[in-house]
Amino acid sequence: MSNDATSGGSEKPAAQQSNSQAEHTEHAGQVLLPDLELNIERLQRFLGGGSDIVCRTLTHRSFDNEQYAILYMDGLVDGAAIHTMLLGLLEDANRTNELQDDGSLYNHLMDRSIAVGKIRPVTSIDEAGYAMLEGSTVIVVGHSLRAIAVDTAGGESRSVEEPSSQTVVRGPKEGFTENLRTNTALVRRIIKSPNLRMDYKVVGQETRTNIAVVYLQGIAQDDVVQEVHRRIDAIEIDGILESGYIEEFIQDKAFTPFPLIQNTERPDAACAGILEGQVVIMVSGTPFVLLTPVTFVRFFQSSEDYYQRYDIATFLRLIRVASFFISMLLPSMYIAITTFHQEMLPTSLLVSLAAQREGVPFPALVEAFLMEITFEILREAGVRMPRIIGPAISIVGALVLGQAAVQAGLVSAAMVIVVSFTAIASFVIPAVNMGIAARLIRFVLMILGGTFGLFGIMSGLMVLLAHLCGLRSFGKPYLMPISPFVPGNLKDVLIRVPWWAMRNRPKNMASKSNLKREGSGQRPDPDREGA
Amino acid sequence: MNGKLRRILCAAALVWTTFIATGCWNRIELNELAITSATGIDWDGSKWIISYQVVIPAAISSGIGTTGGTQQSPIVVYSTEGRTIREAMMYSFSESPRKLFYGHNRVVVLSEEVARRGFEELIDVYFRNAGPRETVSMLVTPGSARRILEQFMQLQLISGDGMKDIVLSEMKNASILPNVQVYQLAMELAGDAKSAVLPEIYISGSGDTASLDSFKQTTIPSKLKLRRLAVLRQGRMVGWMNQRQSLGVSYLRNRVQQTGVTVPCEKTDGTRGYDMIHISRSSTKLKPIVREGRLAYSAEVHALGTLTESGCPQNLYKPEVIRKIEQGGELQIRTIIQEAWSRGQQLGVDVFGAAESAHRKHPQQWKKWSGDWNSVFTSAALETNVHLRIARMGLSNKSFQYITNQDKRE
Repeated sequence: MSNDATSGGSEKPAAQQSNSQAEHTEHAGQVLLPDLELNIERLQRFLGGGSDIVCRTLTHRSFDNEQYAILYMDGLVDGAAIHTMLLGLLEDANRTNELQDDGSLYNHLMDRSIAVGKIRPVTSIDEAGYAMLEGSTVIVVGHSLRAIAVDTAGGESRSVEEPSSQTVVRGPKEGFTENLRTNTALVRRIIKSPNLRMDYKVVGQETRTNIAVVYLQGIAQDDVVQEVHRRIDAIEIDGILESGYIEEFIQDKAFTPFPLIQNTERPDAACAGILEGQVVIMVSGTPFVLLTPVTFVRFFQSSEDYYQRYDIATFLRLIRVASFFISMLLPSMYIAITTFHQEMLPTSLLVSLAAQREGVPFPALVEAFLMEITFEILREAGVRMPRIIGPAISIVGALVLGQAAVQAGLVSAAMVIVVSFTAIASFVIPAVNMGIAARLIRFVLMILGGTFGLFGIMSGLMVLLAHLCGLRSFGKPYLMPISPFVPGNLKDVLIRVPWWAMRNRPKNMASKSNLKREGSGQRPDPDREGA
Repeated sequence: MNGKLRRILCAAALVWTTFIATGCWNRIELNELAITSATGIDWDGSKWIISYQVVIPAAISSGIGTTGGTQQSPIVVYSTEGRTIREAMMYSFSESPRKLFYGHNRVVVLSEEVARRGFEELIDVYFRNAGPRETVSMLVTPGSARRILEQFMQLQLISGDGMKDIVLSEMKNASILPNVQVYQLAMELAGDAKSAVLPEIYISGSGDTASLDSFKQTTIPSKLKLRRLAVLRQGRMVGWMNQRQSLGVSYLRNRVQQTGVTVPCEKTDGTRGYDMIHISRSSTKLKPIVREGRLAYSAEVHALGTLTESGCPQNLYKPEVIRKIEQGGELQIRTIIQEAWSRGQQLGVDVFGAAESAHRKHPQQWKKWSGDWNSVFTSAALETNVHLRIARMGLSNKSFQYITNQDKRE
């Protein structure tokens, strides 16, 4: 520091040199000049001179009444921090008796008078400007070629609340927020390990969105971490508003209905992923963080599975897998069986279904499409409409479209049951993006079932399976541990074994040298101590 | 990139043509089906007369959940005729607004005439076509098969379904008549003995129950009932066996699931009373024995039962009393089996699976026997060994007659 200060004079030619460069590249890379007024003016011009730029000039009694200025963007800063810092600075500025021997006001301020933890020197106008845009306060010192960026980021932000998209009965109720710093803190508070790495990046030329890549050194696979870095660094875009932007840029395959990257709003779910070797990508401005690599079965695991007892967790997981298949297959199976394979139904059911279909004017395929599309419209309306008119939609949906359509003979009652059950089943899947995949596939299978019967559905499922087998998430097989078959990792797929039996981390996520996560022989046993 | 896009578009176009080219070949909606619940086969000397009992779903459904009384008949029966069975079925298109659907056909009723004439054509139709199932139950009726289809049944709106239910329930609980499905019949007719059996269904009572008005009374004028066992040899019906004999056939074929045995016993005044044993488990081993070059059979029956009725004053605490009832039951079963065996020999039909067991046990001699199996079978003796055990005697011990007549006996 002191080195820089003493060589202050030698910086001048360099500054002038860059000033001459600045004539053709207007603001870019402009170094600070030893002229306070000019620097302030240039900084304001760099930031467009909005009314939210606050500039306060102070005079220090010592250092020949040298002037310095405090600049920050109103609203981006933490008011309390600014207040404390200003108090300290003002007190310091009025002191005369303790003349400093550091030589310059810059060094004095840097070392002795700013009541904020995180400060750093900045040397150019744009560096100072970007620091201000991130919420820092910049202290421009009259004769110095450097300014000080003080991290006073703050301002209005949502507090930590219960996550709205992934609720649990038992488990932590904290959710990520839009603030990256809060989010990293939430993870650090859970994993207090020195091996927890957080690599920061900035993506987006205009938004300059902060991104954190979080993983556990030694548990995450190094090649995956490198690949995450490589893919994020390769993104060139003007703005990142949500982690979905990142997801679409870095997933392994673009044309697939299946999500290749998991997202979550829950710190505990993110930490569970980190502990198993996943890499978490946090994006400033969204509570949804990304987890990768991911497998197909992950989307059927809810964080609550690990907090509830294993027996009920297993049961619920089986229910979820069944719901996934119901949501994907039920309408197409209904169409196929009632229009091609009537002999498969029990006689009394066939007679009952045939009676319901009396007078229905459309073929089963058209009928199913009508109802499915109707439901999708209702659903979308339910999501988009103002919350206050919600009950109206349910009345219209349930009464007009359900009951009245059956009574008017437009659709059969059985079809309404099939479509409603399908709809309910699709909400059981804990990951919304996997539910969406099932919804899209459902329509394709309905056409196949309506044209080729069960043969068509089977063909469609085979194509789907082949597609799934070919998918990779950051180079790791998507269907693992089912294909390739890893028997040791089946303890957390369809069934969830008790914690003391789940000794290994997933093979495709965790580093090979670090697969054990718990000690052996921990099965509860009252005789263990005595023996 | 352009090439890739073109390839994708070509593939999409090809897939699309498959959708428009199929015309959804055998797609048929539920309300375009005439669900056939029973088929009747008659023969008028030169033509087949095929009758169909078709379900009217709307009439049945309106009865569900409401009063149960339907205004409209739940079934409709009509007939077509032709030189072949499929020709007759073809003519059904000229009178039915919907396509006949045989996938849910429950029973095929043959008239006795058809059974005596032979019905290989029918079995061929069942095996050749994918629509009708080979698991349909077959029944024989004396008289017209169409008339059987026209009858309504109590408790069951669709009488075709009801007939199958009667057959199944009878087979499970009384084991007198078997449920014979088309494929079983075909296998037996094609087997070593070239013989088979079919249960009989007939209309008991007077007149027809062909109108829903009959159900406004507690007694309906006529009912569908199972009775005898039709015996077939080489595809032709040759005679009947009565219920006792057909129960014997069930014992010999090891088809008894549950049945009952009535055992005579003596009352205090010397008249005859009866005990009833409910057989809950029974197994029979029919073994061919060669004795002095002649074929004979031994049937080993192991049965387990519960005493369900005691008609004589008996102190059932005493094991010798139980043993006596058991012996009575064993005698009854043995008699039933012997009666069936001699009736089979009398008709010259081996419906007991005797040929198969002889073929299996003595494959060498079989070559000799098979040339003249009928005479070998009719001269083969049967010895029966019945072991009956009464495992339980119900909730009470001494018979009630024993309690009421105690002083008289002392």
